[in-house]
Amino acid sequence: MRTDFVEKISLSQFFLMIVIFQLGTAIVIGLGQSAKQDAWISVGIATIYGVLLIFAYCFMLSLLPGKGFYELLKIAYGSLLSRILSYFYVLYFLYIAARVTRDFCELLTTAIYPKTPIEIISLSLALMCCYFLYQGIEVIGRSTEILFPYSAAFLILLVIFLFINRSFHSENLRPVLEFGWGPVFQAVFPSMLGFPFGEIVALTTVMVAVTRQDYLTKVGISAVAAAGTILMIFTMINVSVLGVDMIDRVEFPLLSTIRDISIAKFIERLDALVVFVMMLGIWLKVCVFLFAALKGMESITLIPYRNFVFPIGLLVSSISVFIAANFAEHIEEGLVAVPLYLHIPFQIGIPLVTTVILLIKVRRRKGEKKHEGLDNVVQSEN
Amino acid sequence: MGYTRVIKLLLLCCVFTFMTTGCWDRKELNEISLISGIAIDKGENKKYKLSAETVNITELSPKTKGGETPSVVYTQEGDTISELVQKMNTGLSRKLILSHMSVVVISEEIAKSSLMEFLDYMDRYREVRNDFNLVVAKGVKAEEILTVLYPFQKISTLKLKVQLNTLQDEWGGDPDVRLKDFIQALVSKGRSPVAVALTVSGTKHIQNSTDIMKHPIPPSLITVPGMAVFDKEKLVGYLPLEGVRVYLWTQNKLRHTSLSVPCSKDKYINVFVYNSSTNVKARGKNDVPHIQLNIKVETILDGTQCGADLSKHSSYVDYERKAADFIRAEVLATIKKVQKDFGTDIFGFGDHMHLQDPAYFHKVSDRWQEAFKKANIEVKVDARIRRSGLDTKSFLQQLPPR
Amino acid sequence: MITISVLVISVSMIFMITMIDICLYGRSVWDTLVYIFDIDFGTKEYYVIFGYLVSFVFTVRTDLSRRKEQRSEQSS
Repeated sequence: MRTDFVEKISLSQFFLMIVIFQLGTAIVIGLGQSAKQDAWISVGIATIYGVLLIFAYCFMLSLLPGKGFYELLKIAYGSLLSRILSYFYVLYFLYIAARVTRDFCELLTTAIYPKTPIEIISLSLALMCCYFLYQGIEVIGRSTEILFPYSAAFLILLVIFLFINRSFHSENLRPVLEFGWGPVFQAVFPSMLGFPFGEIVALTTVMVAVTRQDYLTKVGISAVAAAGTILMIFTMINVSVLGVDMIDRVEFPLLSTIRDISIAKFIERLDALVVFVMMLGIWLKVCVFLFAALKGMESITLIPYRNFVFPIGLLVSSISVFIAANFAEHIEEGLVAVPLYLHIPFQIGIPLVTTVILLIKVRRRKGEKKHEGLDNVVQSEN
Repeated sequence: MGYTRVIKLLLLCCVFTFMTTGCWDRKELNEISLISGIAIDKGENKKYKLSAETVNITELSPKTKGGETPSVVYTQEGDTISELVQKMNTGLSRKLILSHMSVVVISEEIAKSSLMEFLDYMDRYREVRNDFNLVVAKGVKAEEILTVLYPFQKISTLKLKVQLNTLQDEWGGDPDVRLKDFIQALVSKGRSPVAVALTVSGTKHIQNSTDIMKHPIPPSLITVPGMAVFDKEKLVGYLPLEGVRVYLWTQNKLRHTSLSVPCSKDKYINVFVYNSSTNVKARGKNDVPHIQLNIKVETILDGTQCGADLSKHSSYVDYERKAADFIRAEVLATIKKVQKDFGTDIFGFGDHMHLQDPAYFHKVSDRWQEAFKKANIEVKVDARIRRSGLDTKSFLQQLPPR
Repeated sequence: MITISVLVISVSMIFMITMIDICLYGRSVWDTLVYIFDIDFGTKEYYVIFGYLVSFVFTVRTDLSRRKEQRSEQSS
């Protein structure tokens, strides 16, 4: 296998990766539905949390610049414990990748291909992502940069068409805060912490590949804020077009919003635009989660990750078929099991403990270096 | 070395064969048949009776028509609509596509017995769009509505679609109810749904025949008698055409209409409304809902049977006042009739109350229909007549007095 | 080495989803496994399993060729 790939992604590619990563599934599946017409406020609060989270991750990476997430684990916990933690992280990332694939398969079979077996869609997506990963993270960054304008154009077109179609009913957004701040905060904790803003933990493995590390924090924060704002706007759009009752009922709110468009009897049934936007987001999410898992395996087995790409990719595709027997089980797992037992320890718990340990170690090392530095100076003077 | 090359080539061939077979879900055009309208009756042996009207496309084009019927209607009985749609091929030939339906006709019996659960299938199924009209068949079986043909549009349901659209635009006779509106009205605590009613009228009831299209006075014709009023899922009565207009006024959806306003005994002026806007204010006071409607209309005087001098401003003011009073009386009468006879809030005043006075609405939301019955309704109309056509003075003034 | 790690991860993943199903629905381990895999149900799960096995075969091949390289490096 070739080992001479240069793996660098530029700052703009990193920015777009974060934005599309966040938008990915969240924009079609919808967030904060339990807050009814105040869902957009919940998304706003979650955005603030996301900004804080990425600031924390960048801070953790900046303690020892140039080292990726798994190397930090190794330095913080030592060889054996970090291998066990990396193993669990690999399992976590693969599980999330399988869930995301399953989301996409459900969308396609519900809206467009009812007779096609989901295994076929799952296989096609997995094969595509495997090929991209085989070529390296740089190819993924470049592809995101190329495909993003189309996604953005479709989203803007959607908004314009909805406006022409007079689909916006601002009275659906009122009365604001009808039931007070309670439901708004209940919608944020704990489900919105993990999805979509908490999944940035997977991007920490990618961050080390960015060219200009000094701008990492600024770019990261602005990307998360941008993604959060777009999500907030689209949540508002969904509620104002569909109304509160319908948002509760439908599986894919943005899809139902798009089906409302009927201009001059000619521009109708624009489901394909939404599927494209979601396809780009899902592809990037699966690639990043797989990359994070593969990097984890690389740090455990010390074998370049490209060797694992195809079996692990197809493993994810198989697991995505097995995780749930029907859509209701998939949703239930996502609401009950995943946020509490998976997202919180892996996204907040372990990184927090790691940061604290690293802070202590770095301070100690700085103290030692100061002494060493003085010795060197004294010696060179002599 | 040769081995691996051969294996790689074989694999590539397999993959390409796999990829070029086309879509699992494809439906070729000559395999499908478009349903232009469905009618749902109460079944004799089972729960529902579905009639589907499919389009015979060669009949529609002037080049290829050959005197056949432009549409085929087939009826089946079953317990769910979704099963029936799949089962239609016991009589019809091709796969049926529901995406291009224009009309769904519901029989009175179904609506009165609250059998509207089939709406769940329409809401859930991905092929069904939101752009068809929901209608209720009054006094006839729903199936008969599909079988009355019409010379211009040939297919009965297409004619209905154009007819309802035009009626709504020109006179305000169709409440323009789509599936999403109907379901939203069903689910919301503050309103009940409506649907336009259709019936078959004519001197001789020959349906089911293309001979209908050969007479200048159609022996059977589908006409609009008014609007069906629902109390949640159950049909409770009908409103005449004027009621439909009032309904559109309360929804701020009235586009154009034509009013015959009395100007003196047995003489009327005709005003054409070209611009109308309604504002609804809802408040709860002393546990009684207070609803205030502010209607503003801009009109043109289309014809007058009284001989007033229309070059004077005072005549305009006089007629404007008469038109405003007329509209006010009509709106108030219809709303009060709905309050008294049906007791169900079809106008959505509950939704307005929810927006404007949520505290009061939360108190009464579970029994909004009772609160609506004793609501205090106030209507204010501001009518403006802007111009009066080509003539200022009517030639009637110049006639010798009788 | 690659094969072993892939196998370990595969088994761990299956174990993980079994555990999640058991926690959510409280069935016994054997019932959950049968429910997850339900291969005799006639669905198209053969495709993904087949894909995984094919990639697995190639992984074994890669592993063996790496071992061969390493051994030849060591001996030279």
